[in-house]
Amino acid sequence: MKKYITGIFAVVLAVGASAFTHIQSKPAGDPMLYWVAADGTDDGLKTATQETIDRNCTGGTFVCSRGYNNPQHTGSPVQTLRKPNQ
Amino acid sequence: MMLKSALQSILSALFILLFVYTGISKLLDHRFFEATLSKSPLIGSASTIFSYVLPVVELGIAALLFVHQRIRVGWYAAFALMLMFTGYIAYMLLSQSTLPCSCGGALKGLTWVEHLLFNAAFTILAFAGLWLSRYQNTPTIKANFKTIV
Repeated sequence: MKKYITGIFAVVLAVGASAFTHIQSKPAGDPMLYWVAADGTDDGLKTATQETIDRNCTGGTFVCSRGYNNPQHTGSPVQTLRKPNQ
Repeated sequence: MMLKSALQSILSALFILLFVYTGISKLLDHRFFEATLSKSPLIGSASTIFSYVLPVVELGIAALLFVHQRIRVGWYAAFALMLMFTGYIAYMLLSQSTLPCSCGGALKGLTWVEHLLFNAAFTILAFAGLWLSRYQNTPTIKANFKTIV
């Protein structure tokens, strides 16, 4: 039993941490924010939290757009976030 | 000997923590994970399969590392998986002009370069765990020794 203590501790910690980060990542306030391309076309349903909007996903020479699954080429303008029916 | 044993315990606990955390995070946020995988040029249309297989594999490896009799198999699998993840990130960084924003759980906060370094470090740690377990006394080894003697 003693040799499994660290393993059990790691599992409990991991389960707690993943549940915690999952709850924390849930959108607060208005959860339904739509990404809109620069030309005004609807880029599809995407949800974003303020945290993901504020975070720049910068990796070397690449710049990720703000929000989920919305890659951009370096240097292109950041897409505007607006609420639906605006 | 005690130091080696302690190191191995710490390493296996660390990897159990990592794989259980990322595995569960991917399952909890499955839709997002699958959508991100679909953006990958390497995975693309197989994203649905990968989105289920990857977290299950991670949890499976964590289970192998937990069970001492199977720990060596677990280390081989952990090392192979980390090598694969590191290779994937390196490929994406070197060959792609656009990169999706994604990772599991708290690792979402890492940039692609940071994630590459993180994975490379854990690949080395997995190798260390594998190396430390090379004299692990498994039932199979004991049985073979008895047969020889």
